[in-house]
Amino acid sequence: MAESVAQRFYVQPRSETAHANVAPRQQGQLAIVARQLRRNRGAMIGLILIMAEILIAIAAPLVAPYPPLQQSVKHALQPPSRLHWFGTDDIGRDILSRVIYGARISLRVGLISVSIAATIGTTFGILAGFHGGALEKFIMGFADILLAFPGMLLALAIIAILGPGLSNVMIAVGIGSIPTYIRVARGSTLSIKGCDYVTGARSVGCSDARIMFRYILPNVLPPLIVLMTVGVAGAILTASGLSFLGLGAQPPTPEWGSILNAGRTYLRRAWWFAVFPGLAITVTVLSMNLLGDGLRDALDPKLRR
Amino acid sequence: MNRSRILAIMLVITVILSSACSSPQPAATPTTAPPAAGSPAATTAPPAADQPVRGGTIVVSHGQNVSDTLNQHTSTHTTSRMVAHHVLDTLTAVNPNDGSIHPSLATSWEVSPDGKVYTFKLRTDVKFHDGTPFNAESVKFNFDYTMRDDIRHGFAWSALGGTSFDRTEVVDSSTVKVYLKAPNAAFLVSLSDGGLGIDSPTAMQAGGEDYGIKTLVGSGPFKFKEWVKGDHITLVRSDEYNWAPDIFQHSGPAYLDEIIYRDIQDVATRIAALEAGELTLATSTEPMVAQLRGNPDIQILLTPKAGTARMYTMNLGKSPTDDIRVRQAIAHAIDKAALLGLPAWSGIGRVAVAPIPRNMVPNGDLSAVAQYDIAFDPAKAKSLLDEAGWKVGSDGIREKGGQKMVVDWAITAASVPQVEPVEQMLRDVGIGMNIRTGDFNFWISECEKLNYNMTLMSDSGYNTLFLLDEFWQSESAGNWQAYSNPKFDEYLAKALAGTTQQEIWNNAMLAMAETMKDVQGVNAWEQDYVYGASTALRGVAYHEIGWPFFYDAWLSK
Repeated sequence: MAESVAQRFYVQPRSETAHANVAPRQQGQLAIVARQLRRNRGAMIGLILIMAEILIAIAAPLVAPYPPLQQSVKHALQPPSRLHWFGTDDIGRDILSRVIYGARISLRVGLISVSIAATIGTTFGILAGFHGGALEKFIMGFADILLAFPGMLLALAIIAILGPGLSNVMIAVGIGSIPTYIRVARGSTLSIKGCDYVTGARSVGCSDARIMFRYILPNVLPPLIVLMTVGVAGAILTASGLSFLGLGAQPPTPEWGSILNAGRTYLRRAWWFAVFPGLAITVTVLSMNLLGDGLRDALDPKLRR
Repeated sequence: MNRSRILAIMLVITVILSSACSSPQPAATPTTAPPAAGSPAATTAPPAADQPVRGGTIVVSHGQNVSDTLNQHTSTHTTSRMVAHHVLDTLTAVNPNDGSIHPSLATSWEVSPDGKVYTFKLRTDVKFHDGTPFNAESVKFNFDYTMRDDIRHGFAWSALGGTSFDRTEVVDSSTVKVYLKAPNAAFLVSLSDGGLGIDSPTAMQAGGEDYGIKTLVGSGPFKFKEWVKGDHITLVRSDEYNWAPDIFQHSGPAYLDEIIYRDIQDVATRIAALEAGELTLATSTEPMVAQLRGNPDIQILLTPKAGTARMYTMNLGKSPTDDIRVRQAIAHAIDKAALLGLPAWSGIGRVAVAPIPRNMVPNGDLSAVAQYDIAFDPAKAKSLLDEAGWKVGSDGIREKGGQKMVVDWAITAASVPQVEPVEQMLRDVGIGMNIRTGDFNFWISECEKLNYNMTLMSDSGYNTLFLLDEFWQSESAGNWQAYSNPKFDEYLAKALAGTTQQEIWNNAMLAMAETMKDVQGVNAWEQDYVYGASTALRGVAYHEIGWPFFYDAWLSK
């Protein structure tokens, strides 16, 4: 998510022509939002940390001091040192390298599961809000059923059906967050549906699909972007939780949650084993939430300074 | 096949238990195991000057106590036997130090020449905790009950021989005859198991459905007081107890006033409770117990597990482990000694040389089969794989005909620390590893479907023939390796029909050698049961399985 957020706010405002035919109020707003965001220190810290993490994840083979799977029986449970900044695990693997490679996995899980949820949820949310009637009742009923289950429980149930594994975790976490997107997209659609430009589009003979895609979608996006940013954090946390329970990433994959779980046994003998992957999760989730909060404030006209 | 089903159930149960406490299990020859390098020698024997004193309550946690019932006729849960054995006496008793069979409720016995009829003389001075006398009728009632077809067949049913058990006949009040349909070389040993403890028939009839839940009445050194499900089981001393078998250090009533078994499933929590003084003894794991070393208030108790060695078994029915050269290569690639040095083992246990550990065979002598054990030799592994046509690919993993050499593992999540270290050893010779983990049900179902190449396997029990049969007999339902070798079946059948120890063991060794020549798996290590205990706890004995037995135990002030 972070990438698209960055592009949206730092690249797009400068290439105004590319978007000349999109709903006109979008343009000026983006510039305002970017300015607002830049003033929010928390959000900027979050953004910088996430950008750094993305860079590290991409450059993992260059920055990681060791291959993440390389064991060394003789160097098990070594405390942090110059050779191993984050120490080693119970079979002598370098924890720093595993945490770095783990960033790839966590970011991927976060992005993919949020993409699944946002794509499906937004589509159905707009459909429900735009068409109303029986379709809306059906979609919202479905969303309410999903919402009735606590997210983790739902994910566990889906994993129980699909079997453990990282891709199934992405699907499970994705499905679990669909209803939130449905509700938000539907709510925004309902308020936009009556706008003059939508009526105008309809009166010149635009198809329903075109109206939804070209006129409604861009205008329901702002709250969804906030939701997605925070959603990535939630997805990473849930996925780590599932891996912690042994249902997510399979060994020897360096997933943060599973490293944390392995380190739990040695918490008193080797604090570094659990603490560093735990810190990685904390920092990532915190950054995402800071950025999400900042975006929410920036996108809300009432909160603008 | 009925017998096979029972075998499978039994395996399931023992594994549930082992996964519940995330590895170590109870088992056989009681001893204080060899201390790991640098650790204080574990000891169970009280210093000579100390005299046992009476009184005190101990609080014990083996993880989850019992999930089904304490009624041994229907229970399939290993911990249930461990607890119930304190309440129920058995016909025989096995001295865990040398495997010798001693009288307990039975004072003597005779076996017919064909090995099918056992005549037991019984003690006449024994009373159950409810005051009713123990006699031949009690034995018949218990065995008849176990063999009933309208109850769930538990461990007891298979321990009596399952379908090969015939009937029980009362000769007079102190003599009972047991008829078997086929000889069972392990029968007298099985009778010493808590699972075949004798319950009071009166109490069983009175208790009905609640027997084993709200009541449990035997003639053992402790009486059942209460069981609060999910929380604790309390046993109290029986002051009338005066018929201890001579395998113990003393006779008469037990020393302890009370034993409380608490349910604490998480091993880290158990160890924390032990260190806080809330527990007297806790079942532990190797890495957890290693952190107790150096704590002056805690002693580490180790006892070799009765059962098979811990094995990385291989499925002969699925490529690439269907090729013996690949299996040999895998065995050559795994450095068992290095594994034991890792924190997951913490130096506890011994490198195995056969599927059955030394503590399970007479005099610990495995020399008849040790020659078939495959030594760590990565160079040999590589040449075997080359020979089998697996060439090293660009990423270091071998391939043949477009297929990557990836060995598929299906294991429980709890086994990960003991499987993950193998990954590097195999990769070093060009074998990739795909690990799939899940809960116990996932693991069992993958094994049953033979949908894996390798897994971490073992079972507990003190009956070697039973274990060999369970794993490798070609028709056994517990044979999850697609192993079928007529020679093995033949040697095992001879061992089961054997009438002398020599005949039994010679054939058992020959059978074992077959599995080793076929490289049915990597016999990795001999496991110890691992307990942490307060240093105030003295005189813990282990019964044949390797579980702590508290009849001789006492608390020093």
